[in-house]
Amino acid sequence: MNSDPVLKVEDLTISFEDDDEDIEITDKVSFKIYPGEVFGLVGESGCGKTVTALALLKLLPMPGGKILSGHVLLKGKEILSLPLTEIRKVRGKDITMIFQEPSASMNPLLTVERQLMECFDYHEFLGDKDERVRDLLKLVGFPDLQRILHAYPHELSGGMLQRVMIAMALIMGPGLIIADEPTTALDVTVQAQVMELLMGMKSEMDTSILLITHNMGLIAQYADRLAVMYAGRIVEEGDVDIFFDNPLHPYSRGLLDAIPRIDSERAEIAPIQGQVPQPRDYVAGCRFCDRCSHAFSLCEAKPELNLFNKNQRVACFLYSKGNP
Amino acid sequence: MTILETRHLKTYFPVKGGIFYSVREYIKAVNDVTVAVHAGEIVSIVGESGCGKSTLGLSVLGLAPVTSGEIYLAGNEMKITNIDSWKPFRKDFQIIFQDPFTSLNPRHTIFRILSEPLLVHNICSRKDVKEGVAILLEQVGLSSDYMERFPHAFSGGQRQRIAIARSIGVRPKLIVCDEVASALDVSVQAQIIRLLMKLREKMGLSLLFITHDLSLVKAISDRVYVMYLGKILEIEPTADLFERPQHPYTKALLEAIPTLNRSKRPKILEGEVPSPVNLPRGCLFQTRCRYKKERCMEQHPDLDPRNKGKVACYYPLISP
Amino acid sequence: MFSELTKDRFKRFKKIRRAYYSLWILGIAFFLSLFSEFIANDKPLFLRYNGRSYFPALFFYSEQTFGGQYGTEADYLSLHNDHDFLKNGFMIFPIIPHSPLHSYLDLKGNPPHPPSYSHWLGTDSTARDVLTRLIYGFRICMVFSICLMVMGAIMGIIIGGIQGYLGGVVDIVVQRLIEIWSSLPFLYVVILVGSIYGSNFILLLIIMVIFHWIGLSYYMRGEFYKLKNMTYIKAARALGIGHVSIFFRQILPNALTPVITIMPFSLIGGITSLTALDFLGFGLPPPAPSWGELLSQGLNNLYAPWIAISTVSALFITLLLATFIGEGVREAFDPKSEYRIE
Repeated sequence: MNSDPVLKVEDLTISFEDDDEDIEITDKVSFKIYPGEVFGLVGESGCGKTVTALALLKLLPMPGGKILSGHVLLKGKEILSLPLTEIRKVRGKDITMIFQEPSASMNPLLTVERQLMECFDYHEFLGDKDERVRDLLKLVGFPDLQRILHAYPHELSGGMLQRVMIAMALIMGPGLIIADEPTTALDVTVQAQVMELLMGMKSEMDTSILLITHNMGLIAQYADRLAVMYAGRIVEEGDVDIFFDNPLHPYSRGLLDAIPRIDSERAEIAPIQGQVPQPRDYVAGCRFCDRCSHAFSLCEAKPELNLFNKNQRVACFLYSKGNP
Repeated sequence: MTILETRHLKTYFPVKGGIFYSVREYIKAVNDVTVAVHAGEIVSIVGESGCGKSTLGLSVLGLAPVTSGEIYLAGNEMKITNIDSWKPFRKDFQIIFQDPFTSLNPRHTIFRILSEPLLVHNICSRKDVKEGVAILLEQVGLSSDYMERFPHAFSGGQRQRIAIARSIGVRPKLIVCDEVASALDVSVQAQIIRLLMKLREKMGLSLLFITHDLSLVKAISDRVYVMYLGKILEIEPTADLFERPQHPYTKALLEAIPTLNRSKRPKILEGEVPSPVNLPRGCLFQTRCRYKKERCMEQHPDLDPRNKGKVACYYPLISP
Repeated sequence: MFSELTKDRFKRFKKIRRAYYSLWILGIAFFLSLFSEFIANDKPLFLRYNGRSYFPALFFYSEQTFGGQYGTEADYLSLHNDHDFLKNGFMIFPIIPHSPLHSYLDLKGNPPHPPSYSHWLGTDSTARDVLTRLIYGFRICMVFSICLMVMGAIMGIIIGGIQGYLGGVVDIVVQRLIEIWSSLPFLYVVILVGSIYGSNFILLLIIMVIFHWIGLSYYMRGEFYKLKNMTYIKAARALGIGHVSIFFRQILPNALTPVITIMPFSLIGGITSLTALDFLGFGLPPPAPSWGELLSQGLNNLYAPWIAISTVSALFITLLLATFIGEGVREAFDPKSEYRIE
């Protein structure tokens, strides 16, 4: 990838307030997303991936959520320091978001048409708005436009709702779509449909996608690059092909070993022993230390995300200079 | 020994409408289902949302209103019109629910949650119940220090373990697991599955494992039932289901799963799922089946034995 | 032992300063008012005569004990001024040396008397000390309202809970009965029953309870309907736990939230209802010291503003404190008011 990144996240540190104390949720998270690529942010619940996504659009819940430090650059422009009015211009236009629960993302009192047209109330759009809405609905696979335009959310299935959400996300032609667990609430057959659609749209409209999920299968099939998050930090980053051939970080390996596989002959699933720590209990050193079978003395310090080779970075002392 | 059996089980939910709340239609959640679990077996019921698998699990335990059919628990027939006929069997037939966040009473301590069934079924006396609870917690890998705490303080995986502890305390013969791992993270899922299998070994437990996740099915089950819109479409021993699926739906399900193998892209299953109140005449899968022929539109096929399992299809994919 | 949920909510309540302090103030005031006899009384707390100790506030002593002629209760106020007595003993009066029932007819001028050194808030139209009547009235008010609150809650919980838990025919029948019942005119019933049986504290309480429980029962019905479908209740059933146990031990602790939030407002309702009834003359019979009665006097004697002003102020402060508490409870129990996204 030689072109400039669409999104550059640098040292993003987010905290939440609990009992008058600021608890750090993410610790200097950094990654880049290039134009036209699907970037996967993988991790289990509580690792901070959703919070990171919300922070990109300054959508952290107030009071309580704080961005302690860091930069988010959209096409080179810093957005975290923008005033509210400016941020609102970015939301829905340059960066859009698709959430996990489609039925909760739509206003139950508005028809699909009204909902889509609402997007234009907040952003400038030159051109025929009705036509744009129709074009997008056709693009996401609704042949019967009349029916869908006048439908209310409760009349549509999960898959259909998610398709409407995708249409809404695309309507202003954003540079980046953040998809937070877009298919977790859907059946596996519908999931396949929705993901194919998303990929198709990505090519068609040349947007990038930040795909946040805990489903490794989705990453393997649809992402170009990925970052693995654990306990608020990125522990590994790289191209997807290379990752699945050779996962570097012990957590990444543990995660892959724990997944029950359809395709392989391996019958045993090997869980990672121990549990994900709570943000309150995050240590300064390596946070995976207590569950890692390779832990050693250096692990008490914080491992930095270092380059392993051209396409991979990993934050683990096993790979620091002078170690096998 | 068949520990659990249903024959032609039907659980229909009336849909009321109109001014007088008259019954207009029925949602046939469980529509003529025959299932059998043998002692020590893990049987999975797999299907997508709306197929009726959860309702099946609840019906078997009398927790959903059964319309017709026969249910046998350890060989004893239940009177489906009288929920009290399940009472003597509550101890032997347990259930664990999907959502660990609502299946434990938020106002009860862990001790209370675990001790209550032990006392109600006279497994322990008041004197030894504390020790009993400590042993249970240990069996599921939790510290006995947790007894005085409330569910609020625990993660999803830990709560699910507590729910498991609650069920195994009464030494059941069979546990219905209703999507027990679905709300959990991948690595935690693995721990729970491991735990269930270990308990099966130690206690000779049978499981009726209900899930939509085929990969979990492969990891844990001995036999699999594939359910769609209230009916069973295929029954197979696990290995055969994954290597040689006979029903087109089973095949489509398997193909839609995103695997870690990048060269095998998930295949899309086209077509619309029929509304549960307005089922098509003939095979229920016809609206999405690419092998559909004339015959499929006349009558829904019976479940016939074929190869190592049973299929409900006029044109199954594997020849006998 | 309280669950995390309860502890969290109490913590949130404590953070709302206004409500927390109000709770303390009202609580302490109520507690003190229970000992009204030791704060305002025309009988001394402690008396020493001829070397022996007496506690007139607690026990009955006749005149003869102190050198008088008759067997009736000693008149301590006049004893206090009697030289013979003072030679042989002394007495200690409570802070406010007045009784709520005693008419001080020997004061200069006509009742109602304006505030003075001996009567800090003056007297009412029958020369009784206003401050004392306010204090005793406060006790009656609060005790009445608290009893009303508790008894109403118990009835509301049980009836509403049964409706919600059993549902079906039981619910429909009871609901219709409630509707008929709530269309009865409360005031007329009070007047009628009062005139047949004579009003007294208990009777009034009973009548008010049987009208007031209805409000809470609606909430409880709703809560029980909702909660009986919770997964942990299904789990309890699957474990073989019986209906009664599920009702009281599984569902009820979770259903109490609306009860707690309603309680302060129920208290306010009780206070205002009793005061209103007393004002109209249909409440507690005279000479009971009640705020409503004082208010009525205040209205009739506007040229003696100290009666009305002091009573209205007392009412205002009490209701204000209770309202603060109620608001605080409501906010503490409503976690949804916490997050804002802009």
